[in-house]
Amino acid sequence: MFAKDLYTLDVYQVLTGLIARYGVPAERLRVEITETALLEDPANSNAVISRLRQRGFLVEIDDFGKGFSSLSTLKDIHADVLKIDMSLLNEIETRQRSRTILASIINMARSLGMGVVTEGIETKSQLQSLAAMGCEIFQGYYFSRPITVEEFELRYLRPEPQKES
Amino acid sequence: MNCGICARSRRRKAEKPKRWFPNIRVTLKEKVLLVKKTNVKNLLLAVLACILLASLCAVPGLAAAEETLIVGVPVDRCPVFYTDADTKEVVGIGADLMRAAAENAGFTVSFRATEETTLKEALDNPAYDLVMPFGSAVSSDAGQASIVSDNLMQTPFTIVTEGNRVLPELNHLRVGMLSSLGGGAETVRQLYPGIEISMYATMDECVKALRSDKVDALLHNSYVWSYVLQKPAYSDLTVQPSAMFSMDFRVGTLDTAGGSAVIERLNEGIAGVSDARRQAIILDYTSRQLYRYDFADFLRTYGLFLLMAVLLVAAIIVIVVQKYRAMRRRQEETLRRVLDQDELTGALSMNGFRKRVEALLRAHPDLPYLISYNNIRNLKFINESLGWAAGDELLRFWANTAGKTLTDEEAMCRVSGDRMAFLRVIADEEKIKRDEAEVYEPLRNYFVDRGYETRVQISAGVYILTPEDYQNINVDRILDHARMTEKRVRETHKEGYEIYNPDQWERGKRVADVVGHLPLALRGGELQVWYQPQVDYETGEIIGAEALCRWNHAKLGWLRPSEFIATLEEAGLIYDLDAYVWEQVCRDLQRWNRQGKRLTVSVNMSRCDLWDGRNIPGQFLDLIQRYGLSTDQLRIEITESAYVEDPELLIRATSKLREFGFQVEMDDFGSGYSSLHMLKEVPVDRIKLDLHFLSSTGDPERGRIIVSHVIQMVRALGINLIAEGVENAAQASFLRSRGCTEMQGFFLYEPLSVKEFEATANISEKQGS
Repeated sequence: MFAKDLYTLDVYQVLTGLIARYGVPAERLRVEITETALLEDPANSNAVISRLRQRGFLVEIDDFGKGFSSLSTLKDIHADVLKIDMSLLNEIETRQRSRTILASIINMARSLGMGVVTEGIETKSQLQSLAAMGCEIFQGYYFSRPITVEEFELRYLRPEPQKES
Repeated sequence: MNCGICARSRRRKAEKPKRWFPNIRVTLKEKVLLVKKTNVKNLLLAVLACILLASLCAVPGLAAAEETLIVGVPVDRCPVFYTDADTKEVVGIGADLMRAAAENAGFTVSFRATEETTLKEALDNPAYDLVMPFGSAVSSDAGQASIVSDNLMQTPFTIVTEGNRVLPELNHLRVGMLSSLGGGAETVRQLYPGIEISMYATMDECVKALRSDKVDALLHNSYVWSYVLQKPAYSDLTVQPSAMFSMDFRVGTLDTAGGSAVIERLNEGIAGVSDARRQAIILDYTSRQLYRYDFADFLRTYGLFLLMAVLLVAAIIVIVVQKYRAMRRRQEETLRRVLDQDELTGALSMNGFRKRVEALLRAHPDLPYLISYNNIRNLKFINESLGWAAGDELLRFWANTAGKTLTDEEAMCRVSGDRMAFLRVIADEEKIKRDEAEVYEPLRNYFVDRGYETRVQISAGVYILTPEDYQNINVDRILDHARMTEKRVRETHKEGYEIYNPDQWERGKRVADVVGHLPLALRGGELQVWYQPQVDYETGEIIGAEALCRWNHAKLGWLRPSEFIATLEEAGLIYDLDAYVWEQVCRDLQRWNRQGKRLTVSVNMSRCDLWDGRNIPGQFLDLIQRYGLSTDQLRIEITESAYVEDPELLIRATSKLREFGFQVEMDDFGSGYSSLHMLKEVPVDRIKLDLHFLSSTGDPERGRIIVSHVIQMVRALGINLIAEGVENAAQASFLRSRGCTEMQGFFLYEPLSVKEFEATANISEKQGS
């Protein structure tokens, strides 16, 4: 979800409308909001996020660390998950400083009660060092590239009916 | 008939003269033809005799037979023989003399220019009956003997040489002569056997030989010299009067019977030419200016004059062209003025104003401007009661009076009729009062001062330009704001003015107050350096201080940095302030050092300080050396936002400063946008964590969590940490509990004046002594 979506659409209406129409429980839908969007209008963002969380959606702060970050935003936005951007990882193996910063961010997020997802995992060593820092959920080309719905269903959904049968 | 014979005879070449009738020369080349001819001749003879008789009876003067003699002469020797430029006939002294002699002898002569190189060759050419001139009889080129007539005249020969060259005796002289003077040369050899003669085809070659010293002198007929030496190029040649001799001037032909007869008869004619006649002919030719300048002569004589004339003409052309261009420019300028200027008042037209305002805003993006739109509310009444001329006079007075108060950065325009617009730099209240007194009061009272009762009513709308107006210049939009405001004033039946955007007005005035007063403030001590102590909370000890500045503004009172730093940065003046503070701090540090208290002070550096190629690290080093400080006594604070906005420039400066031994601090960390990328790149010694974000709304617990992790992170990165903005005991003890003991803030100390700071930090004269 981008900055303009937060302001131009009644995001709450749209999302609740969708889950009602398809009968999906809210907690099955995670809403990602970019850090940039939050920085533009923290007060309004926070209001939207609170409503979405009350309704049961999971809210994620996307692209954290990609551009500018603000400590006060982090303090004031109550999200469920902090998605740390892959570009911070790029130098993680070579630079102790990057590692330190990343570890602190992960710790800070956990202390603030947020889950941490690192996106953009490309190598096994990245996965290992991040796991060592306490990160549990990952996303990236190391596991899979973005795939089509059919492919996704084939790969992740088919085995279940097979078990049942 | 007679002429017909002559014509034929002339056509027929190489005919032997007939002994039996020597008066008639019939030329015939082939013997065969001669036989045929004899019959014809007999016939002709008879006819001729008849005519002769008849003519003797009719015209006694023509009694003698009129045969025409073809005379070959060289024409390269004006004035003796030359071809007349107009008639193309051969003329000259020799020709006239010969004609006179021939006439006496009953001949007609026709001269032909010889084409042979020498006269000796010409003798062999049967086309000529006679050849001249000869000094004496010479054998022809083919070796045949010739005979010559009596002397026609005594020709003086003169030696000509270069300048004042000293010549050897005539008998040992090397002499140059024209090839055509071959006969003459032979005569000379006979007269002076020792003389060495070189022949040249032209006079030019002769002169060249003389100049290159191949010959000592040139020899020629004096009459010819009188002509040749008129040539400007030969002006350096001089006649040697001492070495003069004369030669005969005779007519020659091959020594044949016919030739002898002609010469004999001719001699009678020569005898008949009187000396007086001879002298007259010579004088006639020598007294005339016969030499004609060729182009080279002309250049030689008039070259300089010509060059000057050419230069003069060129100069005139250049001047004319320049004048023409200047005139064109003036015309264009006049045209532009007509378009850009109002005819009545001399103020700019709307067109000109638009252009001028655009140019000014572009050139001065840092000047605070306002635009005002003014209207004489009662001009209609003035025009009706006092006349149109009065209205025009009033407008002219307005433009004139207001024009005097404008600076070069301002502009004035007559929008239309009674509406005037002004672009003015916003200054202090003084300027407004001055305008009121110098322009608007006299304008309002224009007619009152002149004895009428009418007061001029003016309504005005003012628009203060915003930063956006400078970026996106649109003069019409700017003016529309002022126009709308003016309309509002006019419609409420009010005089005076209103401001479209008063907030902007206050800001603009403030900018003017701050920017305009800075130089004076720096000189007059309005700006003071204050120190806020930095404390080790663990020990309570003062470990340093941050230098801040306080501005005791003459008009605005005490100003805090936040009230003027940004303005000065925008105006490009922050360096002046920073450099002033650095200098003051170093002076204080030096004094404290002398008093035995070595302190470390943090000073602020704006990223703008690094612009314009200023070598700030070098300046700090210079300061330290000048005041005898050590580099660890200065900490350079650079805000986190500066690093974010211009990382490359700032990181370069930071590295340089640290290289010199200064400590560099990242100021205001956490107060704005951070870049996690940058944090790992920037090589700072200390981070100043700004706690202000803690005090804002929100969950204080989450703030504390963030602060603890930041403290941890900074320590893990091996960077020192100081917390600033510590406002209460709870914050201080929390920070201490998380391992951050270096603090600065109101809770500990407020910024202190130098005196207070010295007292607080226990710096006193006593300690120093």
